[in-house]
Amino acid sequence: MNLLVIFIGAALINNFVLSQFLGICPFVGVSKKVDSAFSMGMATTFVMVIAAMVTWLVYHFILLPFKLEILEYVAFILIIASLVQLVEMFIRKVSKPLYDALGIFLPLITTNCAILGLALNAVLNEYSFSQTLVYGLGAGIGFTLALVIMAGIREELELVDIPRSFQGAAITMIIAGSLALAFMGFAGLI
Amino acid sequence: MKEKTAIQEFVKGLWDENPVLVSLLGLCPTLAVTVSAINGLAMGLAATFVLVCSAFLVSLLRKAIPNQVRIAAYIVIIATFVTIADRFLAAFTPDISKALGPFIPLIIVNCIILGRMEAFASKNGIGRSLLDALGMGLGFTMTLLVLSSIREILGSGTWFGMDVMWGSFSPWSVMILPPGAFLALGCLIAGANWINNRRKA
Amino acid sequence: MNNTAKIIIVLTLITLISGAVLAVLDSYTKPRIDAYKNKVKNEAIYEVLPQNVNVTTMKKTVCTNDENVEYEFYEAKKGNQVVGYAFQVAGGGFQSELVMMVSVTPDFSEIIKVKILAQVETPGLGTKIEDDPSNKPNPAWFIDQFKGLKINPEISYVKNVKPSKNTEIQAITGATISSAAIVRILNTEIKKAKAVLLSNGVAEKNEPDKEDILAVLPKNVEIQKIEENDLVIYQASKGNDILAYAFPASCEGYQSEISLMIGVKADFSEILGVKVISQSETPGWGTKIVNDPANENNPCWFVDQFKGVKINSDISFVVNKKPENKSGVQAITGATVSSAAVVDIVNTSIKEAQALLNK
Repeated sequence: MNLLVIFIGAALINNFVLSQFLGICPFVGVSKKVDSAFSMGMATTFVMVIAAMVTWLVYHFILLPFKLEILEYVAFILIIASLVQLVEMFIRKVSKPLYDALGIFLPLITTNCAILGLALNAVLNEYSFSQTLVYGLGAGIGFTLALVIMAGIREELELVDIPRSFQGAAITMIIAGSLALAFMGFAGLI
Repeated sequence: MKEKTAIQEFVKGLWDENPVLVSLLGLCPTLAVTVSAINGLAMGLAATFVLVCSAFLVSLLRKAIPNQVRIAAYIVIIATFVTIADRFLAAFTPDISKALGPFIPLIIVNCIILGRMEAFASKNGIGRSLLDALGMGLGFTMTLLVLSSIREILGSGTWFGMDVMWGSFSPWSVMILPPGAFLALGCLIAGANWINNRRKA
Repeated sequence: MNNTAKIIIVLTLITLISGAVLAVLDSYTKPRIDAYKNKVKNEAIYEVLPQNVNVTTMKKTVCTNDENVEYEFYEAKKGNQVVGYAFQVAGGGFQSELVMMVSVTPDFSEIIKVKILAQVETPGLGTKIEDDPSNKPNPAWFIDQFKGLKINPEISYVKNVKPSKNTEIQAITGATISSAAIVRILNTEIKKAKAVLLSNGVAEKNEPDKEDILAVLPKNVEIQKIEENDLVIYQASKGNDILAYAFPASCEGYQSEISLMIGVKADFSEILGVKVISQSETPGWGTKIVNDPANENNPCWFVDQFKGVKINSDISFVVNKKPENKSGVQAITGATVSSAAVVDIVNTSIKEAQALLNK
């Protein structure tokens, strides 16, 4: 039950993009086409789950026992950066189709604040290992959801006559605002 | 490209290459912390501090850092300064630190900072890098201040905690909720576009 | 090769320097941050408790799911009477963790006051739990509703109407989830705290009952409290003569903490009495240290053996037979561990008390 609440909380109620404002850059940058939005979402989910696990282990088995909490930020960002590299190399070796689908998005993930935010939030909320895992999965799926919905709307927008000043980022923000309003409705779920 | 004067390096960040409104960088903190003017200001200054310090160090070390690991090196440098800023806020201004909470560490992945390191500080001398960083930081702070002022005035009827609206004004709560952040920033970007379009025309 | 070496050296150097800088920073800022946290906590403790009380901290460790969880209670006393307990509770709100300091009456029937220590709820909505600017006369109206609220059977909330029962509060419009979260946290955490605090009787209560002290001392004496280095000794005197001392002691028994009151003659030659104040040993076995139904004449025979035991050397215990000399006791068959624990703590605490008094 508890795990389900964490999952729904991370995916819908506290949606990383629309309510916590994490991962806005890829949200604005890679949401023009549904296909690429979905791939980006999947790649991010993948890295999120792995990063959540590794940072949890590092925090609880290295940083805490040695009282090195002050190195939290430095350690986490290094872990995430190297993880992304490793995942990229691994996917390239193991599965060519998967690499073709996700490959170009992986380097962008390093600077996706959603990953670091996830790792730090999990520590802040004092989640256990399994909770962290579910939290990472929920956050990733919520991120994918927001990205794909946004891309779907933007594909339609191409046919619309938008005032010149609002073209591009401005209208994206306004739509995101409407989406965020809609997502607030999920708050009643729990 | 024509070599810019020192003044131009500084001024460009304020408007022409404003990190938020024009380059669309650093949107996460921009949206997240701008619920009140004081938060926006504090976040802007903290990011400026990290930006300037990191730019100084990166530009100083630009010849020593091997190309292959430059990103990793920048990130470590940035993360170190962010930790410093975070700890100082927690030690000396606990209230602000409480409000900005989880967003200070996210300065590390603020694309403005990594972007300026990669695009500018790693290629230019210390003086120019500092000016560039200062300009960008101030541009960021200003944008945050404007956005957070709009949101606080409309959303809570106050500015820096002072009542500024007339008595019967009923605050638009939505402005300080997540959707309000997107809407306000969307309008702000549109406004900036409109001014730029007019200037070009 | 050369290049690889350079990469490694540069990265290692940068990381090392970063680590060193942060270590210095940590040692500089940590005391300040901790001091601030402590200050906030301490202020909150006094704020939620009635005025002009003495506050003592009690720590309790409870074993749940193989994890030792330590609870801290702040006990408020006016004179000798406990007037309330304060403790910190926490739980998930709408989008952040809510941390509160709660105080309740000693019988856990009523909340005295609740104070929010930390929350990062939605600004303008969830934050109204702490500060509601739309209610100018009292922005803290929501949290103030908990003052004097009855806890049993449980706290509940109503929406948009004035509460009608003394266990009800009104939720904040637009922040129902944060309001409900507070009600939920208080309901579960107060019950938990009550269970923890009352579980081992009064195990770690700092002040033992006067009856327990008198029980191990000669009759008709004046008691005076001596306190030093966390040790408490009660000095019993009649007129100008010091007759005896009593002191509390506690130790790990077989499966619970056993706390005792021990009385000795003023010259530390003989034990006057030992009384078990609290224990939760195995029912039917370990509990025989206070109540052995097998011995109908005197169910308290085990601790009563200590009366008149000489202290010239360590007290020893024997199993299954009568003690040979005046400095030995017989252990309880089937509860040797509990018996040994009692003997052990009597020995050590007498030495501690003697050392303290000789100083």
